[in-house]
Amino acid sequence: MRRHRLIAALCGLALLLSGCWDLREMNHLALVMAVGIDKAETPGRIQVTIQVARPSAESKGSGPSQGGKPVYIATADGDTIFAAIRNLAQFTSRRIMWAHNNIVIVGESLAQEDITPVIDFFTRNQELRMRTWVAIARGSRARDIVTTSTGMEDIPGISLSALLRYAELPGEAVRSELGDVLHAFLAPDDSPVIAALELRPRSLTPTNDPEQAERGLQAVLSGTAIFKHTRLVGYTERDVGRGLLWIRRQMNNAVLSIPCPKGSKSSMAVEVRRPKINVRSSINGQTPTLHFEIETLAWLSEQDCPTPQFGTLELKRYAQDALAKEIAADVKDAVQFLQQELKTDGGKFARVLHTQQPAWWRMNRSRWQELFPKVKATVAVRVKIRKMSLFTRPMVMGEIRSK
Amino acid sequence: MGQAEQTSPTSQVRIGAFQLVTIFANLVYGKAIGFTNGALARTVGRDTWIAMAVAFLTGMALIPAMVWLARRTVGHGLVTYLKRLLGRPLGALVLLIFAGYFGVAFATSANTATLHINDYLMTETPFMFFVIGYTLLIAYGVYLGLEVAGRLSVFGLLMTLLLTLSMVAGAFDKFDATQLLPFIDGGLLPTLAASAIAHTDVGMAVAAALVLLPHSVGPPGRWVKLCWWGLASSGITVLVWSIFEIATLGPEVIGQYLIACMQMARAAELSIYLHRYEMIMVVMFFYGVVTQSVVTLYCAVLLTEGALPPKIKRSYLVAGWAALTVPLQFYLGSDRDQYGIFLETTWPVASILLTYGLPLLLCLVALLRPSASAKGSTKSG
Repeated sequence: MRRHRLIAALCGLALLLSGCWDLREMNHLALVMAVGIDKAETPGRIQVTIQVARPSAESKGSGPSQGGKPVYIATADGDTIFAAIRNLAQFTSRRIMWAHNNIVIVGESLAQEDITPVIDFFTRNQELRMRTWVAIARGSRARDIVTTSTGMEDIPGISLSALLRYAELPGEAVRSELGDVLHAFLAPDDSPVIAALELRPRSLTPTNDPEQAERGLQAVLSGTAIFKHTRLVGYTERDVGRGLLWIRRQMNNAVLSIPCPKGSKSSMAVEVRRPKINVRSSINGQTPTLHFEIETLAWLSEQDCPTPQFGTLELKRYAQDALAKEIAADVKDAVQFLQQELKTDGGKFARVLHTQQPAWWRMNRSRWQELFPKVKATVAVRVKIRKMSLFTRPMVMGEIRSK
Repeated sequence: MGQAEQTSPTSQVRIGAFQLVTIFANLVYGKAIGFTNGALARTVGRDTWIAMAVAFLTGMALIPAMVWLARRTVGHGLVTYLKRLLGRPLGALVLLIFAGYFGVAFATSANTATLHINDYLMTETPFMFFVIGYTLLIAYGVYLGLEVAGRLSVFGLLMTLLLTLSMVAGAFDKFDATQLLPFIDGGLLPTLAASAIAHTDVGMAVAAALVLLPHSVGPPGRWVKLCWWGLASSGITVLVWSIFEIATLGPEVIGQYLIACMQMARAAELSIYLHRYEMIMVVMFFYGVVTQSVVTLYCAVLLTEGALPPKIKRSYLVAGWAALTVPLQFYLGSDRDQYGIFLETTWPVASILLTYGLPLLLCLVALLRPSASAKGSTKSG
């Protein structure tokens, strides 16, 4: 019995004492909320900028008059990302912790050169999750985005991650998570596509931060960055961005605009609901053809023009046809953009052919870069408008009828 | 025949039919979702789950042979039966070989547990600390006996189901079934050959059947079904993980990591409010792995006990095996990359030879010497 107790006590001690080696006090940690990775000014070096939460400032309220800025920004460079982070430790006074990081932002110039170090470091690190957001700083350095106040949250990193989380509403950029990017990077039949953030003038939201007010900028979701192998080769703009989402089967509940009938300059807003996107493939001779079959429900959510000539059914029929044309045009634009301008398979064409035409793929995968621009695409769209939000008939201005 | 062979203390150990099923389920799960899925993904990519399914079906097909052999030991136990069948020296040698297999199997199972903590949760703690701490825990479990392991396994299976459900709930929105296509992408023969890696887990259960079934209170007529239930339940949970790992993260990502299931845990999130719960998952995971470790070390101790003179106390054997496996665990696990290569190359070959080849050879000998199972036979070599 005594021996039992001894063994139990030893096992218990083993569990209890195990904390000593990995002890980390909360007030010794720098909780990173966002990180930016850039090329440093010195050639061959990498610059890391971290945005660290300051809980004391958060609890006292934001702004210099209360507890100071809710985030602490620090920058350092090194030969590698790890070395740069090690250099941050020379002055940050706390140990950097990645577990709560919301977003990894990559500077444009680094992305144009090679994204490998970013993907490697952040997927190798055991503290980060595979669901951490990744974005490219379009037209700027990642540091500029990390240091800019964006959105309504006190901590800009949380606002930046929310931009990607709710990216499906504008429906123009992919929602890129670390796991997805790593997969596309490693897979032989896929290419990474990453959401782009751009600094644009702040229009309405005032700021108490003099530095920000002077700059007057905020980060805005701005299309999708397309990669060829390890390098950034281009961005999608609005329509092409939407088309890319359809091609990649990532479109979900977006709001699209269609023109009003009879050449009116006004528009109607249609909310796409639960789209189903089916991609089939066929091989004609040596050339593959992809057939995009899109079927979606939709709600007519806004009508900026009176349509006295249409009854409810006619209006819905018109909107269905117009939306189908709009979607087909977006898809075609995106295919053309990828094939002719970027010459990069950002639309998972190779994945579709690998899946559906495995024999063809095995024979031709080594020639894929050469074959990709020749792949043909057809688009068929079916739209069913189920309702006009709460209305049941078109908007028509009232008239006093004379007897 | 000596008295010890007739009334071995182990022969009095009894486990219930349901406990037998849950032990079988736990014997495969832990290492299969942890290391094996990653090793398979490196070998056959998106056909990981097919190779895993092939291994389970092969294991289930071999169960009747194991049960046939185990039924012949009823009344006198495996140890006595082997000595009758092969003669005392050869029987003892076979027992020691089996014991050695279970010793290494325990080391791989223990490393499944310790590397999870050391690589993901407590990275600064020396690996040896986990090795010693975990071995002490398991040695205590073995000392308490098979009934305790049986009871633990019921809880372990419940935790395993909860873990699987929580993973599915957290990863469902990222599930992309097209990642599983095309089937047999790397060819049929490579996929079948790769299933050897998964046999390291399934074979553990198949070989343990030979040791554990004589201790089951269930009637021998139901043993095949009980083993099948056990393997089927572990097969379903393991395949759910294989399929989700490939369909959620893709074979390339899964193959990149030694401990594939932790990547899956890091990729699962239950809404924005519980976006990180791998610690909870590790806790649920542990009960099954501990059962696996206790049972494999128990088998090693039991078989050694039969091979050595009866005067040696079991507690000494438990301590001896624990002491032997500590350096083995450390040697295997301290270089993670070498360990991955070991699990993909050496261990599958050894595993198949010892868990399938040796028992099948014994079946053949038993067919040729049917008198060895007769009760009251006095021939002991």
